[in-house]
Amino acid sequence: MTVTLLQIMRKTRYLGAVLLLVTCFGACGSTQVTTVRKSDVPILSIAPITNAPSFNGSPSDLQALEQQVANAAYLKEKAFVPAPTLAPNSTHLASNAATDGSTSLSASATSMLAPVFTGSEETTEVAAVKQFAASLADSPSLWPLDGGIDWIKFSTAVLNGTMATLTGDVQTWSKFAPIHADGSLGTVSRPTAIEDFTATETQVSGVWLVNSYQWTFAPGSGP
Amino acid sequence: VSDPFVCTHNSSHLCQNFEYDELADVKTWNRANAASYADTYEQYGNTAWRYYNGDDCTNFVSQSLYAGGLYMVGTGEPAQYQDDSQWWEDPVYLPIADSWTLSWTVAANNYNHWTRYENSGPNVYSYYGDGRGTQVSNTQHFQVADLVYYSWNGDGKINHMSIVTAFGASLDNSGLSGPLVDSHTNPEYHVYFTLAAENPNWMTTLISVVHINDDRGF
Repeated sequence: MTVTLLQIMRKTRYLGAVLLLVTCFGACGSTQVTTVRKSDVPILSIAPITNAPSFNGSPSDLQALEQQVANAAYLKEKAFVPAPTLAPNSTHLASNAATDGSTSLSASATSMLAPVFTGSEETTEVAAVKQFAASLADSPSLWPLDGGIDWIKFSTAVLNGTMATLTGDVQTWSKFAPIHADGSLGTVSRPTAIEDFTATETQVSGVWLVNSYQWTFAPGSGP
Repeated sequence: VSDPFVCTHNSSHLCQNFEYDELADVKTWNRANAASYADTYEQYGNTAWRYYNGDDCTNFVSQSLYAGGLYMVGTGEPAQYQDDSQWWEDPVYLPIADSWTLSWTVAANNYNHWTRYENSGPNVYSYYGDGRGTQVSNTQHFQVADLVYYSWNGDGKINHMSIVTAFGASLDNSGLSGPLVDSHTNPEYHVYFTLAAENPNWMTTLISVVHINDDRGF
């Protein structure tokens, strides 16, 4: 059985999407597979595991685990997008944009990522965003405009007490443009790739959180 | 390894490989020739050499460097394939053995070869530094045949490599301009060296560049 579950925020302003996203992470996962995103590609599909003999938890547990991995893959792209985004006809000077963007990224990194990641993985993910924010402030040349995932497909799930491991593949995307000195943006690019992942989750206060997320480009995908 | 032209394993059939090496008379490291080779074989590869299906990036660059006049380094002893001080592969046109070093075929080992074992004396390399996204310093010093390494997660574990082949506008319609590279496995021709327009994880990608000096190969 392959189920595609959709709950799309269409044409939702970014801030609202983030707020709902963060709110949803703690409460929505165990009852229904849901996905929240501001979307250029209006459909995010989740293909859950159809046969998981090594998974001895409940269907709702499996749904919650899968949803949190989908959230993780999504945030690994979205967390790098400064808010507010620059419009293609922006007159915001690059230096100002860089300062504002860097500040917003650093400020939002933990609040965006902590509801999904935990432990060393949370530390790694937050550090990556902050390092990128620092480089953005130092010398902006490419400006992130958006990012996310088109679909995610799960292959295996193993539950061992309060630890779970899920594998699968996901198609990620990013949208960016070169930023010129006057703050205007150049050609928009939208790279996409399929990635194989292995994610482990642990239960913290009843909530599944990702404590390890390893990925590689799928054969034939990536640069 | 002080002299890459000397096969130190006298009984190895691969020593004969080096003797029969078609390029053995080429004594000059010519970076333009390396770039030209990459441009020629970027799309379909060179059937005279192995092709590592799905994982050919380093093999492709190694071939290019070899075509540019760099000499294989090491004993040619298959059992020493993990020794990053060596750098060799026996071409398909010499169907004697089926062996290569990891430094010829794996980006992390290739990086280790150039930065750890070829970093002194006449074979000194220059290291430009590294950075995330587009933050590679001193790009104005790039030359063709420079080696570009990528760590997708930014954790320092090198996952991919390419070779600088030209300068100018990237042919991937990204609007980016500067040093351009060719790469395998997915064929890339004259695209901006960060591969940002091909990589949704460009924000976390750590890039390192190695320059092989002109006197390497003599």
